Amino acid sequence: MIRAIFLKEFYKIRWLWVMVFLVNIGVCIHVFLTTRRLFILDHPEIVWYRVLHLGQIHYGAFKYLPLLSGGILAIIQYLPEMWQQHLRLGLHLPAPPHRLILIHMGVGLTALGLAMLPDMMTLSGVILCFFPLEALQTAVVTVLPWFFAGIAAYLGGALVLLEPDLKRKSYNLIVAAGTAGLYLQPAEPGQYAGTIILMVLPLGLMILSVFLPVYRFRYRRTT
Amino acid sequence: MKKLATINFLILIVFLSAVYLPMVYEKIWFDEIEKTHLFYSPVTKEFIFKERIVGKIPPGVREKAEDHHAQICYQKSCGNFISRLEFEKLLPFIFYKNMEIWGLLPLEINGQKFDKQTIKENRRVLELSSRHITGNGPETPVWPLLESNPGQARLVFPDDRFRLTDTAMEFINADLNKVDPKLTDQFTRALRREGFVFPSRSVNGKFTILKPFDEGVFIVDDQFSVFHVKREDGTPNVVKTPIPQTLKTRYIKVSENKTRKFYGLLLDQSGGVHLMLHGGYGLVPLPLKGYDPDTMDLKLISNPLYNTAVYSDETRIYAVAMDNNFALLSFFSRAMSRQKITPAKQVYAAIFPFVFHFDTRGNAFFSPGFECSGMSGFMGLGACLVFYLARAGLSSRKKISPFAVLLVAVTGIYGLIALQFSGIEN
Repeated sequence: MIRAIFLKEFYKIRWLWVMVFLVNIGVCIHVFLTTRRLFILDHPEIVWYRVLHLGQIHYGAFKYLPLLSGGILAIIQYLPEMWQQHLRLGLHLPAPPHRLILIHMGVGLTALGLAMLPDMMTLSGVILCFFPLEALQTAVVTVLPWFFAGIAAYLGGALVLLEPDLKRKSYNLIVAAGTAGLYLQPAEPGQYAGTIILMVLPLGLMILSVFLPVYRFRYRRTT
Repeated sequence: MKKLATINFLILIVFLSAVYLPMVYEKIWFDEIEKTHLFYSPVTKEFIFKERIVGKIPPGVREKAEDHHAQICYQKSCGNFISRLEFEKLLPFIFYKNMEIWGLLPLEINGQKFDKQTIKENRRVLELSSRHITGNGPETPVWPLLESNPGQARLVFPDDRFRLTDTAMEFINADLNKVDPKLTDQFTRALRREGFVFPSRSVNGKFTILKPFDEGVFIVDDQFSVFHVKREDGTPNVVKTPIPQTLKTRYIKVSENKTRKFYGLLLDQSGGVHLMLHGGYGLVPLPLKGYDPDTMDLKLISNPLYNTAVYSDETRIYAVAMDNNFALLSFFSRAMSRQKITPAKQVYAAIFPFVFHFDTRGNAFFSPGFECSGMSGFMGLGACLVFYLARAGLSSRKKISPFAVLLVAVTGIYGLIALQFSGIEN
């Protein structure tokens, strides 16, 4: 059953996922060119000073990219399911609804991870090419919350789209926006060092919360 | 599983409400009041300060507010209000340019005369901010070691940066982004020759070219010995300072000043602050009563006659006046106006029984935290409970559930929102 759902989801999202992936690749190229340009316009020691000491972020284009990717992936995965209530067919399989939706989320999160993989690889490659290793440590701590925002956007999208009642959809949208917003607050490079693990907790709460609209949908609760 | 999902959803909503609602309230109703500006007047030999009044403006302030908004007050430590002009005249070494315009230079204080040049030469401000202390804020541990003898007027950044590994002072060439083995070997050997024990504990310096000259860096080794490292004509100049290991030097705020009297401020492990003298690395301890380096920012203001150390946390400000030998003359402490309990703060405490902080809150690091409102929060909890019971009692569609009662009784307004969002009360 797991394989069947994986295949169903794969065929459903593959072309739109490729588009999301290409947008990510495009931003990666932009970040590489922006960083390279810094070194064309100035001496390396000045660029190092600006980035390592003054905290200039040359990879800022990545900030809202995971959020966008996560939101789009949730839409392309769950909107077709809710049109004409296709998900209901799946929920009648001989398995608990939460297990089925967990498999769906597994597919979505894997797709999101694969879409964001070039971002992390480009960031690592660009920084190791132009800066010392220490700059990579700072950058990873800076961008991880942005990637968490992408996961929050995906889970938030699922929370909104799977909810059958319109009023609760709007409530869930507030919850989704609030959770994603936690990870996009203005911060200096490296400010999240040491507390990254705590930032995962709201995402854990969100994963389990997605089961609630699924149960409401399965048992036709609209109030 | 549905129960677990519901509980999770409720916790998530309570958490998000406790993060965002207080944040929105603070943005609307809380004014950001800057810290009090506290000084020691060399004229009257007393502390004077400038601060923004929170709440009702006393009539004395209105009378003195001739050329500025009455919410800003200028006051002596004895409580008397003064005008802005009087305030500036009591601080002639700070506002010496105005003194010159008003024709009050040269000044005569304590029988000594001070002209513009003397004042300029003897003015100095050293700052030690809690967030800049090693380990208290984010830092990319790669630093520049400037050429201290640049052979020109302006300092320039070198082509390399250095890092301290467990065994070496490693230089990385910025053009190639590769370790420079020759320079690494040269400086590591020079350090070892002076008795440096790897790994280092902290690297302290002023990493900018916007300073009159370069004094290099002070590196604290594993045994708490302090080494003064400079690059002179491209070669290492390492001095093992006589600063005692027993002090356990935690941080040194280096500040190159034209007077070349001091290297900067040294912070020891017990929170003591010392002025580090130029040349022999002698230390002058500063008598800072109640100073906590991890929560307070310190400013040492020097003029031709006195030194004043001013330090503050978020609510209280302290000042110590010292003579030119840094002997204690006077101490003053005051709760700043920004900590006053306003009606907006009282309502805040009543509405929000607790608050989650999920941001940096002005700190150097992201600092998630939980804050309870205390007794006033119970009023809000009670009001929310009454509201819930009345609403559920009046509605034919809603029934009173013990779980919902418990949720509202514990989380107040957040619980009401969670019930509304989750729909479990129906």
